[in-house]
Amino acid sequence: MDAFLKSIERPAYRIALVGTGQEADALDIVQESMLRFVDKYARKPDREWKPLFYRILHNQVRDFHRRRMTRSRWFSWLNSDDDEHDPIQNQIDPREKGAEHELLLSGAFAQLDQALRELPFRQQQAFLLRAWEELSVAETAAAMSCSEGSVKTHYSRALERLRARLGDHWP
Amino acid sequence: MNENNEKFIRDVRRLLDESVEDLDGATAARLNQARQRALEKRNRRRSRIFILGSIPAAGLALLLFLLFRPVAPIQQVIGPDPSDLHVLTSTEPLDFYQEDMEFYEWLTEVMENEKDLSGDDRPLPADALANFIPRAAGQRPGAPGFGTDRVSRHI
Repeated sequence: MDAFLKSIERPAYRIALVGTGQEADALDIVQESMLRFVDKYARKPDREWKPLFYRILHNQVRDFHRRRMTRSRWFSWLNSDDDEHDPIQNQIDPREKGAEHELLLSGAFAQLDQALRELPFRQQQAFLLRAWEELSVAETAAAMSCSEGSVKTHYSRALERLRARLGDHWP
Repeated sequence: MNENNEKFIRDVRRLLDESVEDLDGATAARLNQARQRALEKRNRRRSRIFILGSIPAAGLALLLFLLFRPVAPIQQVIGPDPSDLHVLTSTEPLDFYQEDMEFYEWLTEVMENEKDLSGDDRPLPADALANFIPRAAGQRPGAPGFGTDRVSRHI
């Protein structure tokens, strides 16, 4: 179990980071996914661990988006009568960027990261699980709780968009 | 999938791999901490399952032992010692038994032994007794005396 979690923690963090855009949220999601995975699926056969873990991670990222959407709706409703828009509130704290931010700014990876973040959530997840984590179509479908046909569609669209976004001369 | 797509995906995979290899120390430490927490939780759960699982197992073992244990013979109830009964029903005061009982027991034993050594307790024959009983002074020989002398010697 330790070896499995060790092998998966960094890719899981990267996928969660692409999905959330925030380091702290991505770390929280990875930790929660590990705890839930150990709690629920530790007794399952080893070969099932990877898709099961990514299923939890995928649900966590999806729930993060739902919570953020709900919060932003309430926030916009509460602040609907504000006449002035405060630009300081929308600025990202430079201390939150850290080393990760520096890495994102570096060349080819920065372009890739930006292109991945611009993808719709399901295309993003389907592409990372299939292309990077090399899950099969069936495993990706199980992780994303959708049909295999949907996985194929999301994956091909993601690939098409990324190639269009990054161009032929990338990287 | 055409060759361009394969190359594109290889490049994506390589860059993503490099990005996670070069994670900063703080992020790597947080991930390590998250993993350790998950493993600790698993160990706690295992020990809890072991403890909870051992309770019905112990109960079952106890039940089986009670059902199939070898039946021991019923021991007779030991009543009071007859000597104690004797003491309780005796008319002697209790102080008597608190004194030197061993002496009285010894005395009883000696008296019974002497009785055994003397043979049976039947009366001695008359002629044998006559030799041990002194004649009265002045009594003529052959005259019947008192006691066993008066018993005929020709039976």
